[in-house]
Amino acid sequence: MTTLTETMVDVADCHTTLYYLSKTPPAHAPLSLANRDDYEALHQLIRGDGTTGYVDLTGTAAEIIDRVVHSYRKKSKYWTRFVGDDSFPQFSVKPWERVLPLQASLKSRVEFVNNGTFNFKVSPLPTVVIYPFGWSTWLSLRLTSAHTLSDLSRFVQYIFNAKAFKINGGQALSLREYFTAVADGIRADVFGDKDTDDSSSPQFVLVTTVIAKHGGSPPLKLLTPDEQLEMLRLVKPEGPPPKKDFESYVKPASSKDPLQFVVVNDLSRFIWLENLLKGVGQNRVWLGCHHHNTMRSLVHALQLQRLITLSSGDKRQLSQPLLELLQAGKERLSTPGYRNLSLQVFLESPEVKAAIEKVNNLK
Amino acid sequence: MLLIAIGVAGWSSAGFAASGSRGAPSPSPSPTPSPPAIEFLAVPNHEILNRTEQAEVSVLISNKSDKPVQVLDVSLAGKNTTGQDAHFTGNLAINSELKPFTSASRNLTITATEKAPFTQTKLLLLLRYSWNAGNERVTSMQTATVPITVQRPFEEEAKGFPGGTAAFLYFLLPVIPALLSYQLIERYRKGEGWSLPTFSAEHIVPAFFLSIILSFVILYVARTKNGFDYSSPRLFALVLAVSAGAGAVVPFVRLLHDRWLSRTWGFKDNECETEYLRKALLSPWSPAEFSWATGKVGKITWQGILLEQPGGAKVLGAAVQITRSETVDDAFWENAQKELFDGEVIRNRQRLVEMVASRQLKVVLNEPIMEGKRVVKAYVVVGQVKGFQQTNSDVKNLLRPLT
Repeated sequence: MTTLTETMVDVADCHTTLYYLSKTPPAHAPLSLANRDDYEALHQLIRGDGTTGYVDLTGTAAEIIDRVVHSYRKKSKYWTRFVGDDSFPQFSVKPWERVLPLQASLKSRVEFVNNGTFNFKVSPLPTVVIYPFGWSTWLSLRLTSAHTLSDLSRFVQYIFNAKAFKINGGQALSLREYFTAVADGIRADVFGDKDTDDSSSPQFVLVTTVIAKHGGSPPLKLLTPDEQLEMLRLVKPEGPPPKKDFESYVKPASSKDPLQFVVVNDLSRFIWLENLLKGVGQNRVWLGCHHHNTMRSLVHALQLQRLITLSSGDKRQLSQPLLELLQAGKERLSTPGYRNLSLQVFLESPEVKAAIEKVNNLK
Repeated sequence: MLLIAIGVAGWSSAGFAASGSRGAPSPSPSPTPSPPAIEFLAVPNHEILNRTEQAEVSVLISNKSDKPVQVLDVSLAGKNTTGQDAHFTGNLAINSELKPFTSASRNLTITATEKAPFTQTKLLLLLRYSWNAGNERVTSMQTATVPITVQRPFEEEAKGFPGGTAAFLYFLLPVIPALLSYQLIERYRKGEGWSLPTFSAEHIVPAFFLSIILSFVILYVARTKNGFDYSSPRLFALVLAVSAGAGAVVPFVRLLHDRWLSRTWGFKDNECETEYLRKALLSPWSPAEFSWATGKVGKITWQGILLEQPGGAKVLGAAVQITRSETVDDAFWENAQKELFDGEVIRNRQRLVEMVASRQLKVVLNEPIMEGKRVVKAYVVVGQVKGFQQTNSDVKNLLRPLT
């Protein structure tokens, strides 16, 4: 039987607001996100060592944010491919033009509330990705010690459907309640608090990747209906079970190896890359990077798609900064520097195609 | 006229002289006794016999003299007419008197024995009779010849074949059962069932060659030039049995060998994972590189690792995962991987099978056999893929070490 020993489950919401990007931007701006110059100045103000506190940027205490860092602070394959420059981020960052987000750590500590049925350790790590036009609260959960696929499926359903989290040992919250709590703080710290007028995506980005295991792997063709449902619940943990054939949710990541696959449903992904699950060399690190990059690229693409979707199609109603971001967003969605199977499926969705088309047809 | 008169007178005087000698004893010394004139005729009712068959010979004995004779018997003459090795037998005891100028007929039964040669034989019949030569009783003999031809069984039928064919088939006869029994067992060995063997044109040359060799062997070993005596049912049956047995020896030994191979290396439906790996990896014909085959059985498309039974029949197997069992730790598994695998290529098949058998390593299905779109949850499929017609294949590892 397959025994998983390390699994990453990352989930993020997506809030979009044109608070800073209207034709009449607000006078009060906790962070300078409203135009190219201010945004680039803000990026320059943030130290590269990750020690810049919110108070260093605003002079006031934050409600929820602890420190603000460049999301591209660490050199990685994702960012060098994203911008198409191997020297990135040493020179010529161009955060506005490239729509590079900031990242905020939170003051509050989040805990996982185990209902007693999970015999593995869960380490949650929250962060918030901040764009001039919105944010995503990204909760990364690292599962360690032995668990099965069935346990994993049960866990993902649990965090979506039960009150599985506590902030600073307080009252237990559901995932949505936790995201709402964080969103309230972000609105206050970064945007216009109650005037932010943001729209949140009905679907979360959910990426689950098995990082380490032993005891073989589950051949998809041999899964029983119950095992198939368990796997599908990893990408649809809420609501009624998926109705289509199991095979229609599975995207092969390799034409030769059936044990390299991604189970896809809307914005959820379950990633199994057998070639990187061998416990040799840097495989574990690469698998972690793949998971992280998948999550980041999906969040980024979703942010861009929603920005375009929620913006007016009439050029005359768009501010210049918003127009610049729409064009930049369209370019990123059309020709993303970094792309993998999980992202590709989203980029080929009707929503993204419609968003690209919308920018192309701006009047 | 004068000459005719002298002649008649002479004949008359002579007649008187003869009558005088019969009527009264002659004072002159007794004359040499003249034997009775006996005519002996023998006519068989048919001249062609098979062995153990009989011919009736009509015997006519005529006493053409004025002396009575005692006819004793009629028998066969020659060295092969008596005893265990007699070729022909026949004897007619008569023991009756044949009066002067009388005849008698009898029937003599001649039997061709099992040892009668297949050829035409002129049998010499001896008529024994006794008569009085003065005061002495003497026994004399007369002979007659009877031609008898002993033929082989079916010789008449064989004459119906085109010229030379019968002799040729006769020549091949000892070898044909061997060829037929060879085919019979060989076809069974190949899984074709008990089908009727055939002797076709392609078999003639080897049969002819074998017949020549066999003839030489027989001549050498038996020191006989007679060949086989097929007219003897017992010998005929024996020859057929020996020939059939000899022909069956090779395929039968191969059949036994196949059975052994099949028991040792033959795949069965519902094979367990240990046996499946042992047979797939260690059989003498196990390939260095396995292939994933696609093909049809009837209208159904099958997919699986192409494997071979001892008889050459194709079967399909599943690709499997090898991983450590719960009883061993990660260090053992890492060492085992180094010992057993070079990437996904197996370094030491024997050791791998041993580790699986000892439950140190675990085997689970990786890529199952596919019957159309249906997954077959078995390690090997044998019966259902009989007659598998391969249409495509790709190189694929039979097993895959997985963490």
